[in-house]
Amino acid sequence: MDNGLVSYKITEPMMQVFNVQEKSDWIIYNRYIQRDLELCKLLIDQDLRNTKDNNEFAFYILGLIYREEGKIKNSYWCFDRYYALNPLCVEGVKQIARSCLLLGRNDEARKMYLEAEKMSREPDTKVYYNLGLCYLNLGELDKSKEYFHRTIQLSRNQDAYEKLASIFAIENNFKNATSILISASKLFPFSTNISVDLGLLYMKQRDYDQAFNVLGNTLCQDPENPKALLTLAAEMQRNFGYDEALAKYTKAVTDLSECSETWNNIGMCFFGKHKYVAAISCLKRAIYLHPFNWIALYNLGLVHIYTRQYVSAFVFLSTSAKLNPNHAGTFMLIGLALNHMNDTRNAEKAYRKSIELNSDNPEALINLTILEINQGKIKEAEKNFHAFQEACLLCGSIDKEIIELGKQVSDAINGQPQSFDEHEDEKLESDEPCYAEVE
Amino acid sequence: MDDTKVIASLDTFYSACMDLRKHNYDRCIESCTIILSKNPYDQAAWALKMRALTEQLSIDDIEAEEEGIADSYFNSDAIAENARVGTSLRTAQDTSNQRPRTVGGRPLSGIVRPSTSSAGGNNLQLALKTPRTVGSSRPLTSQTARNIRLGTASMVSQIDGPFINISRLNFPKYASDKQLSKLLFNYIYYQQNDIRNALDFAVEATKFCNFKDPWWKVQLGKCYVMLGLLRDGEAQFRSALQHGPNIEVFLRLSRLFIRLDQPLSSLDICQKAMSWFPHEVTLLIEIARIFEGLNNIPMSVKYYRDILELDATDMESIACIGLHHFYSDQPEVALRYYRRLLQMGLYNAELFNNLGLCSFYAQQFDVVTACFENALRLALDDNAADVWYNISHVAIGFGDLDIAEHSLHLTLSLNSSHGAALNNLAVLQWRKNNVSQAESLLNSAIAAEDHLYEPHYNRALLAQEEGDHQTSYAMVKKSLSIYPNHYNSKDILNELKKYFSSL
Repeated sequence: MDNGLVSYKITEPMMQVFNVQEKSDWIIYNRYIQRDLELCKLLIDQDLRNTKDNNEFAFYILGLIYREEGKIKNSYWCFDRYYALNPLCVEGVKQIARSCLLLGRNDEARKMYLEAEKMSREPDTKVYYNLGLCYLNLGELDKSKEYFHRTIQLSRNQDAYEKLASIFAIENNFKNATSILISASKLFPFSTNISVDLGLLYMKQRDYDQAFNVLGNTLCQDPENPKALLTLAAEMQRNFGYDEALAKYTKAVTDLSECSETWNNIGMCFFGKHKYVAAISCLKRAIYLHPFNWIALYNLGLVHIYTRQYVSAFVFLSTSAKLNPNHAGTFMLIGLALNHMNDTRNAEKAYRKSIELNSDNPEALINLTILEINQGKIKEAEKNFHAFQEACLLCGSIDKEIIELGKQVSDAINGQPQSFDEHEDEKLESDEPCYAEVE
Repeated sequence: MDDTKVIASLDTFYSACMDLRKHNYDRCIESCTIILSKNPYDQAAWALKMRALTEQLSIDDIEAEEEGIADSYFNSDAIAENARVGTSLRTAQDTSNQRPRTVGGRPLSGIVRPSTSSAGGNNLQLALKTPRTVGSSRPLTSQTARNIRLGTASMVSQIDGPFINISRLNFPKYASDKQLSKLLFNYIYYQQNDIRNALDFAVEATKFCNFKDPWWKVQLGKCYVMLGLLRDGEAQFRSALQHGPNIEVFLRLSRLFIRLDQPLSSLDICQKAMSWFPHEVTLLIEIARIFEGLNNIPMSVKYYRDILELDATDMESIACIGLHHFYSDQPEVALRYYRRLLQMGLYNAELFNNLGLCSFYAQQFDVVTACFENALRLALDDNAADVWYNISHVAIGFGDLDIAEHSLHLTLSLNSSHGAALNNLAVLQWRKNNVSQAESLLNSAIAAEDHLYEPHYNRALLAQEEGDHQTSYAMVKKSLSIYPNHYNSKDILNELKKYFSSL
């Protein structure tokens, strides 16, 4: 804030003659500092009338006030006047550039900031940070990273750390993103934003224990932080702690009653507790709130398969597949639903599509194998069963039921091919994806 | 043939009486005119003709009120400008954000009735800003549509001059006649719609019966209310009630308090009336409606249920309860209520539309298409837009975004200022990365109906993504002014404030 004054004195050392008009500057400054903005505006108005628009400091403060009120265009105009009155001052250029940035004119902002960089005698972290923002908005990530790095080297700027980490996350470079956030969290141990981001990053890398630690710490500082609550609850849910997770969700839901993902997770909690009706109504609310939420649709389909309503399941799953055609699990479930409705031809197609999307997918493979055994295509079944065994080896954690099923199928293929009817009714355990991110 | 001969042989006056009973008003009037042309001083014929003329046009005027824009703007009756939350229909609490709102900003009711469309308008500006399209039908002046019809009807029906020239009537003479005075009053009030003269007449008449007849007091009250002198009307109604309880008077009093924007007093009155008439359906309906107006949906539904216990065929109750179930995630139950309406013989586009939606959400997928086909077949221009809008929702539910887009376009072709449709179309375009088109659609959605917070929020989000923080700020402010507890809007606002305060 007082930058405006200081730079004014620095840039014009010759003109430090205090004439009459500058006497009012400190009053305006005082009022501004005391946040008496209405009075401040009146004073500025009066002052500008007295000096016939020749008081640059008044323009500067007026610009800041307008910006806080959200009137960026007016603020831009003020800083423009400031710049016109005092073209040698870096601060004016910086503020005009900032206004451009806030108005979304990134290219212009970038040019102004580059000019400001040239004008300032020593490196200015604000300029670097904002240049980083401009490049980020313009999509030039490399340059943006470079400027944020410079900012961090010169100062401790929390925002710069966050932005840098988010750029790394966009580039899927989670390692760098985490290391940046770790160093940031050492510098700013009380910032919940950073620790929540860090926790979410750990979640994305499937490093659940670390995420749990970090988010637990966050909740100690801010017990109501919705992002941390949701993520922690999702983590508990993953570990089958449904009741604890539900408690956390109900805490968060007061804030986020319109958040589709929360309702999705709550629904899946109920599903985990085998309360299917509650699960269905929660998932339906999730879809009501966000009709394009394919995960909720997928989960709803899953629940309907469990409640043996195969037509409904098929409708929801096909909707989910239309919204996101790249999820292998959806097609597998569609196949299952179709199989139960005795449409084996299309079921087979769905299984094959699922395998095509994700070739080491033990569930789809075993289901396809069983289908083929039932149709008497033993040779193809054998081939798929081998693929299944390989997929089982590749995957880390597999459900016991699937292994059990695999054993039965291998018996059926090797020993007595007559007894394959008994394991026709296969059940599918499938991971329910829990997305805890708040949009 | 014989019948006509017999009738022809009847006394003309007797046949006129019979015609009146059979609601054959035109013929009754004709016969009376014949009698009167023979003997202009035949009072019986004169009275009969008066009655026929009145009954031709009389309506149930207890429910006919609808406040006009001018009325609500110049309304000095409301006691508190900024009433406490829950004590006024204007500041009704926002509890049900799941329910969509009408053009005026009220949560949707299960049934369309006078005053459901109006917002209990806070100010003239808002009322004038809401677009005057097919969707909104708020009258500009205080004279309601029905009253205007009455006024014009009186001019059409008489070819050779008015039947009674009221300005030349000797009021005290007729007012003293107990047989004639009430008929004459009704004629002046309903047929001529001349409230001022009716009031004068009623004043004379009530003087002649020494202020003892409650009927005249009620009529006086009616006149006062029509003239906007609500407090005088209240006094008349209250004094009428001292002669004994009367449902009509209680209802009129309750209506009067609603016009004064004092729903709690209105509820009081209804409760008092309930102690006299514990099973009166009209009173229960009144209470249920007031609760709905106050956004107290659970109480409203409770009363509607009570009504159904007493009168199982009350369509309003069935529709309102059905709606309540629909918006509280129980489409299966709602479906039962709407099917009941269908069984009762209601056969219109809205009902089929609701049935379609319910069965879609209750996963009865086989009937959805049939219902919507019926709805479209029965729909007129104005509700066809809404039907198409709902079809777009169904299409989204099935994941068929192309059909959704087509039906939204059809909605807009029928009602170009359908804000929700514009908003949804914008979201669909946004999904396809047509950002500029989405932006213009959102802008037109905001221009069309600015009581929805969704377009404002979406516009803010779009501007935020584009980096245009000023627009985003303005939009988020508007979104929050409509729906103050919207978490996502608050989130954006906080972020923007951070931007604006840093150097």
